[in-house]
Amino acid sequence: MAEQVRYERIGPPRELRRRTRRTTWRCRIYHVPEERFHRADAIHVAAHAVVAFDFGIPIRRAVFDGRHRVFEGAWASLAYARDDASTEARIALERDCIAVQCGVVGRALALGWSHKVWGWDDQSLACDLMERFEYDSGVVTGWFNYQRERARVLLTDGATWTRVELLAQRLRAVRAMDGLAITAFLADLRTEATVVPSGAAWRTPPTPGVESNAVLVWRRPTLTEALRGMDGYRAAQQEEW
Amino acid sequence: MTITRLQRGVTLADVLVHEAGHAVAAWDLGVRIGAIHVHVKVREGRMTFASDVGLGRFPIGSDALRFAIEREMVVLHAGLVAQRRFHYEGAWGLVPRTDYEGVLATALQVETDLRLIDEWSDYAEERARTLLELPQTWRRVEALAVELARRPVLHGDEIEAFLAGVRVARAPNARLAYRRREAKEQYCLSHDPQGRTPVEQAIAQATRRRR
Repeated sequence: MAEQVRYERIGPPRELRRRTRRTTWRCRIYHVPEERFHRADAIHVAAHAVVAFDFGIPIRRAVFDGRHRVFEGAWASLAYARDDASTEARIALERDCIAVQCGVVGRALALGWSHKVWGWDDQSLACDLMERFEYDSGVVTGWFNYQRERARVLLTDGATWTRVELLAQRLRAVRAMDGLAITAFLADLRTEATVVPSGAAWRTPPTPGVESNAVLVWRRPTLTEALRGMDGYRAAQQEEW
Repeated sequence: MTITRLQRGVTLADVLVHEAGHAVAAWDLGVRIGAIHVHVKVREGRMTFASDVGLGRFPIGSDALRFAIEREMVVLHAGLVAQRRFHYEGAWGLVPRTDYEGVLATALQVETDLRLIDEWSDYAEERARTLLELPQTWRRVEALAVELARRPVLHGDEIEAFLAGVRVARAPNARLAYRRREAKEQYCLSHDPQGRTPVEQAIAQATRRRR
């Protein structure tokens, strides 16, 4: 094969990169969770920890302490130096971002809400991280949505969700766990039953895209819809059945 | 990957740019190109490449496999992305079925959730877009499209040799371009719909010569 030309990696100027100097990520819930949402908020923290554990990312701590108002998960990132544009660095960064996204997605799963919620600090952290590789907003949005869906797929797996639920319970009981305690807890976990999130909130979105405020908007058909018609998901499900 | 004249708006130049888009993306990402066949009379084209994923070169569940899948998805999307950039109206409503089926089949090797595959596909399409928007890449797409009008059948080695020989402008300083608004716009939004006229003329000229 002919030698390929490698262009200089495109990226924003250094001062635009905010939290990217750090190598430890801390996903913190800054509001004080209401009592009725405590289970969901504990699942938020536990989901970070379980997925980071599954990815082999060393966890520092997970805290769910209502008395001192600290609710956070922290881990040592495996992402590489910020100017490293290698494939390995990209994979490591993507895993970090998925672990970041799992909190919000896990909380939404626990509450039965749509997982496409927004406005959370975790998501801005994920966007900051993605700035290492991409500055084009279209690519960042696409990557972000892909990571969120991967987080959903990971968490809706019965084995993962069961561990998340159990770790969340444990976390509410002991308030804080360090990395070793979490690793030991997850490694020793043996359950006979499997818990799955209800998933009641998810249904096939009507097409063309109808937002919740009932304004009819046009959106591009997705890959599945382009191949199977605008009712792509349902058609696929019927084929499976 | 094939594209046929599915609607009236698709011209020969569109087909050539489509196939050239696939080939340049594959070349840039290190995917081995098989060949490009263009049927000039019926305005139909086909580009093939050696799929590392299809050949089972990576262990199942590995990061390398996922990354290879993503790379091939970018290549599969690059055709329509290039065509749309070249002649947007001509690509309106066009569904390159074989390309999309290739994307779906490739992604299904590691994922079964269709929503996840949809988002993954969108992400790969965006990556293809940013790759082709680079002036150097786009210059190669145009040059290869004109070359395809001269020689409608090109094999992998010939394509690689041709692309390596295309003279492109020096890559601009991206950091400087990002800082200066005008330079950024010049860099990222440099596509002019009228810019396709010289390419179309060159393609028409090459086609006439062949006759």
